[in-house]
Amino acid sequence: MNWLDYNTQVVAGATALLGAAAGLAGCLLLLRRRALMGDALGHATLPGIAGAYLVSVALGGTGKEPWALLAGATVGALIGVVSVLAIRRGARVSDETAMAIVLGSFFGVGTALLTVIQATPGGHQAGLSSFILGHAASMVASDLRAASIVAVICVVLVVSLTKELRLLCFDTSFASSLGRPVRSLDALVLIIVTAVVVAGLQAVGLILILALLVLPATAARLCTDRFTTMLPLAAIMGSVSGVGGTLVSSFAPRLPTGPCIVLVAALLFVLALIFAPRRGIIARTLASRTFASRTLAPRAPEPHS
Amino acid sequence: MNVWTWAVDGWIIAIGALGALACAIPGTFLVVRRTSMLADAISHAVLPGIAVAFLLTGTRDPFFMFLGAATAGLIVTLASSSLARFARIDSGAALGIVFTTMFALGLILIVQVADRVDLDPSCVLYGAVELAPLDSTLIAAIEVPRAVLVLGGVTLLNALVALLFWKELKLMAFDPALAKTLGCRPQLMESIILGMAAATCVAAFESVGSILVVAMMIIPAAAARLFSDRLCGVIVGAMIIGIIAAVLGHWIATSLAPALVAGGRDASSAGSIAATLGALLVLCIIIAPRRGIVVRLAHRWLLTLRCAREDALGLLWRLDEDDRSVDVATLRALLVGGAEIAPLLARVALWSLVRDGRIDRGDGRATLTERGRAEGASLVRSHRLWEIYLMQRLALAKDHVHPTAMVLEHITDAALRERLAKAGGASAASSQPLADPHGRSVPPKTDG
Repeated sequence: MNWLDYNTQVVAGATALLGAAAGLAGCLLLLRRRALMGDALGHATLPGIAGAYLVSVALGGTGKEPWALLAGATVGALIGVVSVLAIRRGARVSDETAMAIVLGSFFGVGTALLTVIQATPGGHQAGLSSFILGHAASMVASDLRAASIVAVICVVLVVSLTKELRLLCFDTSFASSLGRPVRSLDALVLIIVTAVVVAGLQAVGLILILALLVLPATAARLCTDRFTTMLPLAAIMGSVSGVGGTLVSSFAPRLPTGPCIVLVAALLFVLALIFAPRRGIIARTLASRTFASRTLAPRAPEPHS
Repeated sequence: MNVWTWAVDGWIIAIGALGALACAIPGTFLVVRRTSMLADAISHAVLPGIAVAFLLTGTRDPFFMFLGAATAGLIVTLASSSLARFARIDSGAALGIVFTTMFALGLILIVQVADRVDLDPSCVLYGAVELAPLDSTLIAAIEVPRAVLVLGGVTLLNALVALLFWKELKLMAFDPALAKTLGCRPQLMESIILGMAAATCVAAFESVGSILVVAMMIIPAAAARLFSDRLCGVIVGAMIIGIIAAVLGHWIATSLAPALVAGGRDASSAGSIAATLGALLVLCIIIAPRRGIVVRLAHRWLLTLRCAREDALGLLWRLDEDDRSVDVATLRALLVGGAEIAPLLARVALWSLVRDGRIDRGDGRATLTERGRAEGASLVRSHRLWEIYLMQRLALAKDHVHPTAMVLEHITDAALRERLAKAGGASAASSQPLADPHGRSVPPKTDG
């Protein structure tokens, strides 16, 4: 039994906290109809990471300082956000197109930089590409600390701004007519998402982080119509996916942690899809049966005689 | 390294260019239909597709890999659209759910078979266009890379489908509701677009990498959108932009990058092509005719300049009316202070008026020339006629008409001016000049 060992505990703790933060951030993204922003942001971290490596080496460092790489990832993601908004205005395209543009071109810059780095002495061992698919097994206590800081900040921000965020998510124009700083709130949401994406690089990688943002939030949305219920529900589902995925991957020798977490989250989503009250498949089938029997069954004989 | 050998670099560029040609058609439809992220979803779904294909067949035969990837691409489009419809989930979220779950599944499957076969996930993501020329077949005594054949085939197929269903696809892209009422079967057309996108993604991922396919599909179409309002113009533009990026990107990867970095090895061509596409889009946003930032700014500035020139002539005419005579510096100060024109703009406006002979600045005084006087009078005529109209017909208060007239005077042409004069009560018979609400007489008609 190796699932109680220290390393597994660290990974489970970190992914649980990360899952909770991602669940909260995902709810905001989902309700703002920008779910795929998580993907654009995730891919935009790659050139940031590669750039941070190059800068660190140029300044005489090893290029592997975690904080430098994560700072680079943050800068990349933030530039990505700004680019999405700028391209949407400048090229007059939809949100989705702007995201796809940023995602493709930023990832292109990232891969080009990675190949350049591979050619430099010491570049092979940099392990930068582990950020793409994640490498949870290599998480250490400092990663746990980073994840908990992000989670705490996320929870504090969302709880203290619940009213404003709810207004932003459901009726943006009403919010701005009340004098709420809609643009700053929008920016805050994107910053929270950026923090979650960067914190999740180590655990699930920049591609699968989207799953942690979208799956718990959508599952929670299926289960409830109340914003204040949806948020904690998504956070809990995110944590359960984190812990569950970590445990599943620690039972079998060749199961990578990140994908396992995503699959547990997907399982929770499927359960919600089937069993959710009112919106679940079972509830809706029953409801339509009842409706049919109520409207069709008492077909009285034609009243002519 | 700095000299291209056509047997290698020529083929790489050909593959990139063919990829651009193949991607342009479905890419344009995705951009116009606002479903761009579908390209991303399909390209991620390729990984589980080839993993399953390998598990089932046990070979790395390209045909089975292609089949698996295409099936996965189809599954991702169908599953996400039905999830969005039946569970009433936001379509973006549904897409994200389906493709990330499939990608996670693919990663797990690949790790399971990793010791039996060399299926590198990062190879699927980045592609290896540099290695594509090595995998070739002999056709008519020429070694042709397989990627060229595959991408060429997909390009032809896409072009054929687009030509065959051109009218229906076009209608569908812009007005699905109208398409349905005309009996164009939008559902079928939608499926054709998705099918083209899926086939192209799958054909291209091998050579240019799955995520760079997204760049190749979406960016050229979005950039070409800035140049053309016609669907066929956008497709041709996307093809041209894609080909330019293929050549330029490969040059950057093989010549520029090694020269810049001390290590001196080539960068990834596919990555550089995608990055070049991004840069080209930014360039297009800046310089595009009509929609580009430069043109829009220049247009706005020229408009402001025209208004400033008109304001200057009007001001000078009014000063003339009061028998006041000013020098150029005072006139400029009055423009800046009274009409709230930026100092630099006032300077440019006055300079241009002097230069094209509307203001004469002999012996230090600024006086109107014959032409300047006529134009100034026209402007003041518009202004005062508007004041009369606003007060008489729209019942605006006397002290409220001036600011509105200040705006409207600049967009009033001769024909409108004479209609205003008629509405204000000036009959052709009476030579009695009209008076504006402030008691000033409206200057007579000067232009023909």
